[in-house]
Amino acid sequence: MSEIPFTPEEGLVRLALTAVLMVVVLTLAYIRRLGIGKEVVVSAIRGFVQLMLFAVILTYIFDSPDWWLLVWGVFAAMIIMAGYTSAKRAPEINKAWEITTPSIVIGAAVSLIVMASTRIMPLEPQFVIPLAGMAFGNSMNVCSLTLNRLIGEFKNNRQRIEAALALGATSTYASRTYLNTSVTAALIPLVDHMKNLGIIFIPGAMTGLLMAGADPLLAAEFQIVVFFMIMCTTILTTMLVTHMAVKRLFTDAHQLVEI
Amino acid sequence: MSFIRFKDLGKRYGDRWALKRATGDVKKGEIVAIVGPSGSGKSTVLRCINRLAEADRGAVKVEGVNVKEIEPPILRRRIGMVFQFPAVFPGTVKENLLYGMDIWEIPDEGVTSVALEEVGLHLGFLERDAEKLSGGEQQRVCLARSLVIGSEALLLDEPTASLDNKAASKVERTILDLKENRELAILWVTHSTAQARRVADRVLYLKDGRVRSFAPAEEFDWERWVGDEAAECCTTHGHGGGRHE
Repeated sequence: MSEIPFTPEEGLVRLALTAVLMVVVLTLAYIRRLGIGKEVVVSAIRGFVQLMLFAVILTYIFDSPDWWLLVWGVFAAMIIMAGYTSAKRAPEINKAWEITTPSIVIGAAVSLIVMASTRIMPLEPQFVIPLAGMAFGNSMNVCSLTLNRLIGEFKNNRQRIEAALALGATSTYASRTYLNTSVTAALIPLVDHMKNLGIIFIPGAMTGLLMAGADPLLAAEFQIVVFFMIMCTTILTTMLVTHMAVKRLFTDAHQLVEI
Repeated sequence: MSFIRFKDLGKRYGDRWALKRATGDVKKGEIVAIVGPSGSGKSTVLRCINRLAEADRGAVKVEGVNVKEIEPPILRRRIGMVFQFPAVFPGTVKENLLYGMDIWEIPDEGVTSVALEEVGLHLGFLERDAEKLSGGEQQRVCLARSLVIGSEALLLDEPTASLDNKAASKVERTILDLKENRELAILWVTHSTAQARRVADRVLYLKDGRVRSFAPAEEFDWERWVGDEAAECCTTHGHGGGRHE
């Protein structure tokens, strides 16, 4: 099996070439007045800097005998960023990070603990960190989508929710339809992604393993494990975040709060 | 004896008191019309009674029991509410009626049919899509939803304001019939003086969050409290424009 056929230095040259391609495409976008230039440039630069920094940190961790201690620092940074990013999608909820952070952490932790304790995930930094990143990242995405949709549903259906409460429904019962809609909507991208595995998409983990020269069958097995983990994590996260959000959207007396 | 009694009721939104001090009551088989200018706190009174909003001062009692001692869902089952804009749930009329019955585990056994007929809709409506009904029909479905769970009182928050005159008259007639047939205690917020004069047994006039007058309809000083609006009763029903029956 082949290794990645270039050194990190050669890789930088290739990166520069793709950057040139981006500049060409962005110039076209500017000419067409698409208005996406600034955001794309900022995110490209941010992505570049963040990933490069992360790569440097990873190199240090992989070489360190105390990698297990350092991993906790990485996890903490991931969790804080994920909770904060997701909370920004729900400005209507006061201190939303108080519900996004635990939803993301618990959702991801359950899957990671099961994978670690059963040795499905080898306890080595090159497995633990990327898999945790996938778990936290997907958990964050789904958390943001769920909250965003849930608040939209509550705003659009405020009168129906109050009509249900006026019939004696509890806050959980009155919001059931909107919770389900939000959870389903948040999971659609992932479910569609999973349905089309190997047909339209060759997902990230498998791509990485194939490029690193792994056996396709092994790469596929690993990818499926990753997807199952992501599904479990995200479903758990949506359940947790909706449960906690409802507590914030209603009072104890089953009154809908202003959002 | 009053079925619902509220005393010194006050509600604040931020720094503003939407309702300062309101005292009143309603008996079974009676309609109390709550009238007053926009922003006088009429709807807030209703929302504090069934605790869709929490009063910041004062007390509400149902048959002598403070509502804070009653579980909100149980309180709201006893005191139904109909809003200005009909809030039907997606699905058929029957599914709308069953919504509350499922919560309270009430077997159908003809309950839905009786309620539907009581609000003036024939049984053919049961399988119709509630969202495709006219505004007036939807409002009657909302009334029936409270009947099927056995509400003993109704809080009506301008239930005809979003309807055209013809639909409004039908809904108004339905409510008057329900008062007679079911002995319901009804608190009816209306911006229409004409409507208040037609339906009310007693009238409660609110202004700037305070009760300025509370008197039997025949003794209520319409000229003094609602001034020019009083003349409106002789020329028009006073309903807003809106959805057609």
